[in-house]
Amino acid sequence: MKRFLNILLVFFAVGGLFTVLFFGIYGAVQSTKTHEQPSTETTLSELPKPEKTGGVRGQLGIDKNINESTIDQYLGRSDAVYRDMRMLVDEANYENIQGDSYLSGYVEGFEVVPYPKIVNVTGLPAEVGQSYTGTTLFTQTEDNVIANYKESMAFLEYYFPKDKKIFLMCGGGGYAGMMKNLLVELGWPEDQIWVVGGYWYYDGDHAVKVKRDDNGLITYDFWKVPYHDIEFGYMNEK
Amino acid sequence: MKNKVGILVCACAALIAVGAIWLGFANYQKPAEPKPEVIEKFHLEPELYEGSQLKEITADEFASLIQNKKSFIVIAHMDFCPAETPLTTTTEQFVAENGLTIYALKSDIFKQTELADSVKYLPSAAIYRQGELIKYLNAESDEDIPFYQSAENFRNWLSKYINLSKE
Repeated sequence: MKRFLNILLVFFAVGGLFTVLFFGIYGAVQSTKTHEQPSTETTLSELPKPEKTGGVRGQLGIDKNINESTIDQYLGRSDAVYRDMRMLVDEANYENIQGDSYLSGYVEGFEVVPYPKIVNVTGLPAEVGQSYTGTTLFTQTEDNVIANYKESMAFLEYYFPKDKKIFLMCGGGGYAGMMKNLLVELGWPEDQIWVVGGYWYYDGDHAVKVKRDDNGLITYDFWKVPYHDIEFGYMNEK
Repeated sequence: MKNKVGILVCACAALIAVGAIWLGFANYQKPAEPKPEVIEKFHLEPELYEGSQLKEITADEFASLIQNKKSFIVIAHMDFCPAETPLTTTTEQFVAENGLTIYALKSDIFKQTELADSVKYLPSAAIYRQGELIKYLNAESDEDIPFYQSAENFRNWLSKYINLSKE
C-alpha cells in the first residue's frame, strides 16, 4: 500500500511538471503568432499588388488585400505615403442623409489632403447637394483633366510622389477611389497606389479620434489632424 | 526499480497524450455548415404593404422588431460617403413602384444593431423573417452588384424570398 501511494505521488508530481512545461511552451508559441507588428524600417516586406475587392466596394476601387481590416500591417513604411482625402468639414450636406459632414477621426500616419479642392466632385446623391464648389487645382471634364494652376502638378507630385507607394483612405472609400483614378489618368503608376477604403470601417489600433462627445456637447479636435489645405491665393492661374 | 521507472514513464506519456488530445479538441472548430437556401416565400407584416416609403428607424425600434419576431426588409445606407450610393436610389424607386414600406438604418445606428454582426460592409439590404435574418446583400459580392443597380433587379432579388403582394 505504501509503495502504491509513493508511486502515485511521484506520478502526479512528474506528470504535473510535464503538463506545466507543455502548456507553457504552447502558450508562448501561440502568443508570438497572434502579435502582429507593423512594418519597421528594417522589415520592408513586399506588398501584394493592388487588386480590387468584389462587389460594389470593388467598384469604388477598394483593395482586396490592403484595406481597413489589414492596413495596420502596412503603416509606417518609409517607402510609402499615406493620404486621407477628406475635408475637415465637407460642404456637402450629409446631414440630409443622416450622415456627418465632419471628419470625426483618422488613422494615425495618414495626412489629410482635401480631394474636393484637388478636382471638382461629381456624382453625389441628390439629397446631399454639392460638395465644395470653389476653386480646384484641376477640372475634370468628360474627356480629360485640365490643370487650373501652373502649380497644380507640382502640388500633386509633392503630396503623392511618383516614386513612393501611395495608400489612400477617406470616410467610406469614395474619395479615395476617385483620387486613384485621377492620379492614374495623370500618369501615376497604377500598381503603386492602393485604395485602402473608409475610416468608418476601421477598427484597428491606430485610430485618432477627432470628434468628442462631452455629455452631449459635440466638439471636434481639428488641431490633431495633419491637414494640408490648398492656398489658391498664392498660385498662378494657367 | 526498473518497474517503478517504467510505470513513471508510461504515466507521464499518458498525461502528455491526454493533454495534447484535449488541446486538439479545444482548438478544433467545426466548419460552419452553410445555411440551406430558404425557398418557401413568406409575407411581410401586413402594415408594410402600405406606405411606399423608406422609413428611418432607431436601434431600439430595430431591436423591438427582432424581439417581436417581425418579418420585414431593412436597408443600411452609406450616408457618410460622397461616392454614388445606388442602393438608396434603387430602394426609393422600388418602394414607389411597389407600394411597400422598407425600414432604413443610418450608418451609426446600424452599428448599434445585431445586423452589424452579420453585415460587414455598407450599403446593404436585409430580409428578416419572424425576427430571423434570412438574406442580405453583400457589398463585396460580384453576384449581388445587379441588385443594387436597379429597382427591377432589386425586386427580382426580393421576390425570391418574399411575397410582394399582400394576397
